[in-house]
Amino acid sequence: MTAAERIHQLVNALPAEQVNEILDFAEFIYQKQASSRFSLTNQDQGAVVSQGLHNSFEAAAVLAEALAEEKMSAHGR
Amino acid sequence: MADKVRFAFTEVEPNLGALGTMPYLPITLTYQSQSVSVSGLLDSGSSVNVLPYEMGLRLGAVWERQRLSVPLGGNLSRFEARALVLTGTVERFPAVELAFAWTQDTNAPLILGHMNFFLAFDVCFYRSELLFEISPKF
Repeated sequence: MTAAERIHQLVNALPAEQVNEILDFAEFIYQKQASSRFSLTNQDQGAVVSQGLHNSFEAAAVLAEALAEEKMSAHGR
Repeated sequence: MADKVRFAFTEVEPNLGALGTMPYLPITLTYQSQSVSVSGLLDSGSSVNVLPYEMGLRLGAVWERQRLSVPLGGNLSRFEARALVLTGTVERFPAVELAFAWTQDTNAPLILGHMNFFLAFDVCFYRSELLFEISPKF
């Protein structure tokens, strides 16, 4: 059984509230992966300059990560 | 509670008539225990919310404590920005969490963009009537 299959099996066996916690965590991991490529230390500054606010999608991914972290933090309080 | 609220466009350049009006939304931003009541430009052409530097300071946010750098494009690419999550309250709607690119540009306007104002609220523009309408997503 793959990890994805095992996760699917567990999700099906859990109540909705716990499934939502898993979803929050999965979204957090997903957003973290999406934004990690765009940290200031690694980014291509030229590419960023060529963007406008209309297509600052990397920036949007970082904000999504910040929101996910805030939610995770609120869960822990 | 009303599920939709209409606002008038704000005149920013009187000499241009209707063209000089823009959709500025009155909003209260809160960070920890401090709040400011401000107007933000509803910008459907912006991927992100943008918070001017001074406004973040007025809210008591500390630049050095924000660890996520936000790579903004366009004119704001010259300035460093960091992610800051605030609570936003519009009219009597329930407060929502809004993530901002807090820029060090002191001249930047407060911008309400797709991530994540437009994910939290539906916005309908009636440009010919110089009105816009806001309703929260639940």
